[in-house]
This record gives sequence, C-alpha cells and structure tokens, in this order.
Amino acid sequence: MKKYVILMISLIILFFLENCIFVTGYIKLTGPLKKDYYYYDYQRSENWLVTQAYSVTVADVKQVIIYNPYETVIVHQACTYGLSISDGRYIYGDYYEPKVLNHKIRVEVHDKNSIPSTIRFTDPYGYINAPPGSGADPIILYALDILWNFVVSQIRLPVPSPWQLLLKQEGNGLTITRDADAMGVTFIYVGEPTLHGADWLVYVDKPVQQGYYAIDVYSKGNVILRVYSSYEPYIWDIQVGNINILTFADFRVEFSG
Amino acid sequence: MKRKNKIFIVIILIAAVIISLALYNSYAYLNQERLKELITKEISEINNYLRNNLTIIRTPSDIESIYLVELLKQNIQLIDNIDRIINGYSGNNEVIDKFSKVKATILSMDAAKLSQRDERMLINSIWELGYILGYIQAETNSISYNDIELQINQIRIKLSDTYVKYLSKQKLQIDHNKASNITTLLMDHIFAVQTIIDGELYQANRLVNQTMELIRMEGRPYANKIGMAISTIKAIQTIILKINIIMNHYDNFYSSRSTSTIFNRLLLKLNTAELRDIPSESFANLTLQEANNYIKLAKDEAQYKLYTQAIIDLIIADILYKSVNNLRYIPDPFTKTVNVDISNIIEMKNRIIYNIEKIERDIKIDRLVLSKLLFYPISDVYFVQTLIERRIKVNMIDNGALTYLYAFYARAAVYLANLNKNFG
Repeated sequence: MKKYVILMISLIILFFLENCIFVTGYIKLTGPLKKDYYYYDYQRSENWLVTQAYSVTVADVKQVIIYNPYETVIVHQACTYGLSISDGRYIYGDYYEPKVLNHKIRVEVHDKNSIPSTIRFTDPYGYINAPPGSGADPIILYALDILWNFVVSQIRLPVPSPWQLLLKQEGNGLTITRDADAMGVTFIYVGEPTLHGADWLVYVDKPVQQGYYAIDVYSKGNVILRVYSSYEPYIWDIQVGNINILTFADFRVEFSG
Repeated sequence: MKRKNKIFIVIILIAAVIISLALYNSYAYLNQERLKELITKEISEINNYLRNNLTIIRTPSDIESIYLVELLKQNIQLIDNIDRIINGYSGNNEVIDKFSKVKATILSMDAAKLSQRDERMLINSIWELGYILGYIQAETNSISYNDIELQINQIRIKLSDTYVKYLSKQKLQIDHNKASNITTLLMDHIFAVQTIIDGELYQANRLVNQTMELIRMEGRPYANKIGMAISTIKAIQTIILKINIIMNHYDNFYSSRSTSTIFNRLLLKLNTAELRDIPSESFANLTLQEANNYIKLAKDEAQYKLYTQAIIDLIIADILYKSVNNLRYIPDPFTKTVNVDISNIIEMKNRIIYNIEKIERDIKIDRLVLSKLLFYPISDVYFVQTLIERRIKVNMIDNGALTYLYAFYARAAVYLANLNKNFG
C-alpha cells in the first residue's frame, strides 16, 4: 500500500516538475518597493495590519547597445507584485475577513512624445502562483514551495512564480489587453493571487534612435474587508483601499562605434 | 478482503490516470524537445555563417585606433571626477558598487584589449559613469537644475561649432555624370565617411533635445533624472569627439548643394504606386510603416542638411518599398499566428545565406555604406532569435513562435534579395 502512495506522489511531483522554468541573470530596475497598509477596525479603533504589498521590476538588460538606427532593439522585462493579508477575526459574532481584489499590472510608456522612437510591447505573459484551495495536493504545493524558495533565495529577488504559466486565454485566471498602438499592456488577474507577475518584450520599431526610454509599471490591487454578519443574512464588502505601486522599467539605447 | 480489493483497484485506476497524464505530458515534452533541437540547430547554423562570412564595420578603419584611445581617456577622466566626490559620499551602495565595477574594468584595459576593438564596452561605460556622476552630484547637492541647463547649452554650442567646422570643409562637388548611377556614388570612400559624420551629427542633435526633456520629466526621482541627463551629455561628447577625429583625417567633403541634388532626385524617384490594398494582418503592412518612418527620418535629416545620411535612409526605404509586395502573404507575427512548417523556415534561412553569398561576391559599394544597408536584415535575424531563445527557456515553442521566426527570416531574405537586385 505504502509503496503505491509513494509512487503516486513521486509521479505527481514529476508531472509538475517537467513544467518548471528558472529565471536567472536578471537585473533589478527599481525596487523592491514595499508598502504597508493599515486600516482601522471601527469597532475597536485599533491599528490592524491588513496588507503588505511589494513590487519589483527586473530586466535582463538595462542598456541596449546597438550600432545604428537600422538595428532592432529588444528588451526583456518582468514585474512581480506580492500581497499579504492578515487572518480573519471574530468580533462580537461578526467575522471580518480581509481580501484583495482586482489585481492588475499595467505597463506603459511614460510619455509617448518624449521617447526617442516608437516602441511596442510584445509577447506578454502572465504568471500566477497556485492559489490556495485550487485543489492541488498539499504535498505537491509543499515540494514546489521548497523549490520556489530555493530559486528566490538564489537570485535574491521575488520572481514570477515558476510553476504555473497562465496562457492569455479568457477565463484562465488572466486577461492580457494590449493598447491599440501597443504602447501599453494591462494584465488583469482574477482569483486573488498572493503573488503574481508579468513579463513582456519591448520591441523598438526601426529606425531606432538612441537615448532614454521611460517606461512606467503600475501594480494595483484593491483591499476589501468582507464582513460575515451573524445578525444579517448577507455579506458586506467594505472598501478599504487601493494599493498602487509604481516602479520604473526605463532602459536606454546607445550606439557604439 | 473485499474492501482491501476495492482500495487496491481504486489506487490502480488513479495511478493509471496519472501515468497516462505523465505519458501524454512527456510526449508533448519530447515533441517540444525535438522542435527545440531543430530550431536551435537552424539558429546556430545561421549565426555561424554570419560570424564567419559577413564583415560589418561601423568606424572608418583609419581612425579606429585613435578613437579608441580617446574613449579610454574620457573614461579615465570620468573615473577621476567620480573618485573625488565619492570619497566623502556614503549614500546609495548600489551606485558605489557599480562604480567600482566599471572602474576596475576600465583600469584593467590595456593595449591588448583595445586592439580587440572593444568600442561597445568603452561607450557603454561612459554612459554608466556619466549616470553615476550625475546621481552622486544630485545626492550630495553639488549640482542644480541651472548647472545642468548650463552644461546642456555648452554642449549645444560645442556641437554647432563642430557643425560649422564641418560645413567649412565641404568643398568637393559631385560629378553628376558619374553619380547618375547611385552605385558609383556609393563606391566613393569620402561619401561613405561623410554618411558617418551626418548620422552622428543627427544623433547628437536629438540627444541634446532629449536631455532638456529628461530633466523636466515628471514622476522620476531627482537623482535619477540628473543621472540620465549627465550621462546623455557625456555621450554627446563622445560623438563630437568622433566627428572631430574623422575631420582631422579627411580634409574635404562633398558640398551639401551637390548631395542635396541627389537626395531630391532619389526622393522623386521613389515608387509607391504599387503599394495599395496591403492586407492589414500581413507583414507587408508593418514593413510599409517602417519604410514610411525611414522617409520621415530622411526628410528630417535633410532639414539639417545632413544629406548623405538622408540618401542612405532613402535607399533603405526604397528597398523596403520593393519588399512590401513580396511580403503580402507573410503573416504579421505581432497580431497573427499561423501554422508554419519547419521546412518553410529552413528555406528562408537558405535564401538568406544564398543572398549574403551573392552580396559578398557581387556588390562593390564601400564597406561602410554596405554595412549600413545590411544592418536592417541582419538585426531582423538577431531580433527574432532573441525572441525564440526566450520562448525556448519558457517551453513555449508553439505556432506563435514559429510565425515570428518565419516572418522575420522571410523579411530578411526578401530585403537581401532586393539589395542584390539594386546594387548587384
């Protein structure tokens, strides 16, 4: 009996490991930026930590060296956004549960008129860690967590979760919308992930001019307090605040020779 | 006994499901692996070919060694400046770390390294050191917006001095009988060197304008902005340096009056009549946009009387216009995904290699100019390979990836074929 169980578990772990990717060699553009959010519990008027948010933007290059305007430029960048919330509490029979909603990562050109050449965000992917309660085996999650912590400790940066790459399909936990002129991408996550991320390529249209290309990355999420009342037959959602972290994914193009 | 049997059967069933999932997964995995292997082979083949058979130069070879030595001097001067400030500075550790790394690399550079023509590194470190200098100056409050504006104005004056000196050297006239054929003009070495000066002057001018915008940019920390501005100013200095070194070596250049005649003639001759009804999801559409951008760039350069560079941009636009028709049925990979057979990709790769062989054999125009014309298709090849390498890393070699590879290889092949037709 025991043998079969061990066989099953190892098979499951193998099945997941095949899809692992590891990100190495990234450099940090800005961050990690951290923000702590508090809100008042109105019945006790005490400070209650609800959310910690952090965000970091990384890239495999910060400066692109090309020879002249006839060369294409491509820059690979990624952003992560992490949120943590405290546990729920019972107060006078009501249950207060903090939640985060409406996750979003928005990448856009800082100012379309000031960048030296037209750019285009392309090949966007979203990443999301396996949300709790998704039905995955706790043993697998544990094994993956160990791997995940290892990766993060090695590169000392929060990176997009490596084991679940979401495709850009509707209803698959993520929608990716590119602006009509491709100068901005919005990644909208459903399913309240605690850690998520996005990566994309920046393609600079030819002719390419040298100089600084300023790019903003907004990581956004809403915090609500969900109140399960024992006196009322429904659930209240109290809007607590917007978490909004801005990081910079600027890069520069320089000519040599 | 019965109960135990049932549990056993359930476990067997679950195991069977998992095994079949794992098998399916490894089948898909193997398929991906095979595709990856094929593509990696194609990519390395074309890379090896380009490395061994294509000579691309960016700086006239007679000034190269002097230029490199001057770049090294500028680097060391910057290091001295930063060293002086950094002794009393204890702010951002990342900036200090970066500085000591760049410093160590530059100080370790000797004649042997310089002769490897490490221009990329030297120019990159000037941008880096300029940024660090500006950052530290801003952090220690030893620079103000006014100082920066003063520096921008100084560099603007230096640039216009260089431009005036360049104009005073424009004494040659183009023999218009000889230059009626554009190929003959492009074989002229003076003309080729002049395209380098014109191109650099245009870039320097654009950079000066961006520096003003950088310090006014909203939503960025003060020290970052100052760092960006100072690094851009240092980069403009290297451009001015290069132009001056070239001008010390060449006494006479073609007058803008004679080059403008050729520019205007080429502009009139551009044939855009056939460019109608381009399917919006075809690669022809994007190529057409880029061709139009080159025309815009050329006209802008012509306004500053930088005609030789403008002529090169017109030639590129012309080749692109000619390529548009061949690309009508190639999908635009940024918006569309199609089924691509690997044999199509291999065919395009072979066409690229065939055309480069032909160019190396038949085209006799100056190597500096030819390099400028070749950057466009070669960078298409390198761009798509970067994209594919990333896709290989994340196991996403699908039709989307193959469409990118196919479309960019196809455009490079078509461009090279038209380059052959024009000058071969």
